[in-house]
Amino acid sequence: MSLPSAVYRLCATFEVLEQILLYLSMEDVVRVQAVCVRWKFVIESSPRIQRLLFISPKVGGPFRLVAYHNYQLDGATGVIQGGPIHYEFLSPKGRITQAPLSRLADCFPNPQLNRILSGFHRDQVLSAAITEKAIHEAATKPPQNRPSSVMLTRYAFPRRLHNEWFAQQNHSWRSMYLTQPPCTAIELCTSVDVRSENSLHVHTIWNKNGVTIGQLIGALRGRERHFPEYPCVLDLFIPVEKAVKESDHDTNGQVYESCRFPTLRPG
Amino acid sequence: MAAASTSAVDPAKKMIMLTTSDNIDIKVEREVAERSILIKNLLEDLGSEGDEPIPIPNVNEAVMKKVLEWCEQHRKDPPATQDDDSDSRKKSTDIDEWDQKFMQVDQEMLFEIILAANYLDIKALLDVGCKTVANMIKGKSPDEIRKTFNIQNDFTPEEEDQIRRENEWAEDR
Repeated sequence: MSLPSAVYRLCATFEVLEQILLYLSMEDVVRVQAVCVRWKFVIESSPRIQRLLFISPKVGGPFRLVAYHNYQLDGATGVIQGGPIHYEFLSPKGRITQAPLSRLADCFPNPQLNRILSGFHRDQVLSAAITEKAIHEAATKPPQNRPSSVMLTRYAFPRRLHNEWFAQQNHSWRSMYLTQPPCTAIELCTSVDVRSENSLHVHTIWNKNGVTIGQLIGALRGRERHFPEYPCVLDLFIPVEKAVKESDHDTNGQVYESCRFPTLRPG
Repeated sequence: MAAASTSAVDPAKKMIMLTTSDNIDIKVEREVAERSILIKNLLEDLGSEGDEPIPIPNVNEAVMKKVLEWCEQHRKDPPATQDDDSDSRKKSTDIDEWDQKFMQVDQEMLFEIILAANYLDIKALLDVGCKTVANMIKGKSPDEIRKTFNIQNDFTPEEEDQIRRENEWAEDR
């Protein structure tokens, strides 16, 4: 009796090949899809690898940040009063669940954004993970003119957006989420001159399933058509939606600010 | 009776017998063999005596000896922490020095050890093996990986071309 080769049996054992691939970087996983049909199959059908690639949402699902009506910004002092800010996520079964911000502690922007937005000038890119601490800091010390958003990350543009990649409709980064877990709204602010208010251009993208890198690049290309000047800074914000708290204590149901964002609906 | 003499022995030190796929009996201390959750459960199911040899039909003698060598070295390790299925990125592919030396075997044996660790349910050994293979894959092109592991490229030229175009952005330049 002769057994098939060890490498054959190794690749045939789904959980073992999956475990090996989980130790690779994102770039490596994307690259090794080209090795053989079996490897590609395992990468595409493993939920854990798909989450690692920002293609399936992390357990919890796509989220949005919500501040309830007792949350307000003091215009004079710039201090946030009341609170708290929650986040809501859409579970795989379509149920909307509320959770405290601490649960978002490991929400990260897609590391491939560096690669895609700046060609290969990765060292010129500034980025920061949104951690609970970063969110609280942003919420309590809001950046000027942006009281209702949480700074996700800032990019400096080293070259024009006419990157050869951006026209590639079939590149696999297009379907990757911008963050993991995916956010359902993103505000992108581009400016030609960092100091000038006049050069600021703000655009919001929504996707109830989670905003993708493809959507972001599409919006940036649209911006380029309308504002042909060369942008030098791109800031990404996660908007904080203001809503009425659905609780027994809420007697008057007053809305501080009409919803600026479409309501997240299941399905 | 035999029971009187065996009860004096520390049950962890008690010798048990494993029968490998090539019909070789290997004697090993119970504590060492119990690094394998499969063997541990089998011993518990069979009752405390464990005098019967335990058949391990998927692992041959050479591989079993190698696996037991690892189990001997790691016999006092704390039991594996609860299966964390969380996605927290397992960034670290660091391997401790003894394990690195242990894994310096030919590729066929490395894969056999990983398959045996998976079958015998020895999570820590499986992890070390998978990390070793992952380190061999890192930074290599698909073609280099195929050569390294002797894997057949079974894509059609059209499929290969499409995959290359979809993922060219991830290539290092």
